[in-house]
Amino acid sequence: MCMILVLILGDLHIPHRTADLPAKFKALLGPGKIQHILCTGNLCSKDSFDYLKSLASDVHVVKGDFDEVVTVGQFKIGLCHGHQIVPWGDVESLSLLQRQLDVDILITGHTHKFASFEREGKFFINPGSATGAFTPLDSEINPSFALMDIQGANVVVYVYTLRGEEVKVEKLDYKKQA
Amino acid sequence: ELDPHEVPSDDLMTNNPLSAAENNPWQQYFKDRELRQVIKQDV
Repeated sequence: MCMILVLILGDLHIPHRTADLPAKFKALLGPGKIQHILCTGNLCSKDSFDYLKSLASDVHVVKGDFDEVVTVGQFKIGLCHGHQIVPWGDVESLSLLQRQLDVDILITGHTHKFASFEREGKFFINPGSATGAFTPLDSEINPSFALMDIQGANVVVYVYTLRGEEVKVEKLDYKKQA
Repeated sequence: ELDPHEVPSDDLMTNNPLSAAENNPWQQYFKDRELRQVIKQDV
């Protein structure tokens, strides 16, 4: 049995909009568990990048306007910040990018709102903002990130959301179609 | 080898890869994996 843990997070906006990741999140994240980190960008400092490097050796961060495709196990995963996809967070537009990149899973950010859905056998995740940073789009933002547990053709996604002082955990399943 | 997925639990707050709870099966999984890596190195 081989399982791979992939951390998905983004839109941290440190130090411009917030000082640090929530302490409750930092307590959960530790070295030695996660193999890959996929970040949708807006870190925005080297300190944040160094912190991610301390959690896992393989860290991918979107750079500006560029999309990136990463292969983990049997999955092709597309990574894109998300502001380029208009209307932001739109299902049709995300689906178009997923087909262009030809990926099984598409990860985007920018909206600071967790979102996940399956469409035509493909899986879409927006991890939200890991710090709950300010965005002009929304007034109520809960910090959130996601963790993918990949085993063969199956993915279990754990979603961690900070509501008030409490971390809520939810679980989603996705199976790659042959 | 312990597979944390096989451990029946409805309590997601405890049974998830990042939980530090003592009865979290993932904690045992990570410990086992670390030990296996050390054994592999030594052999």
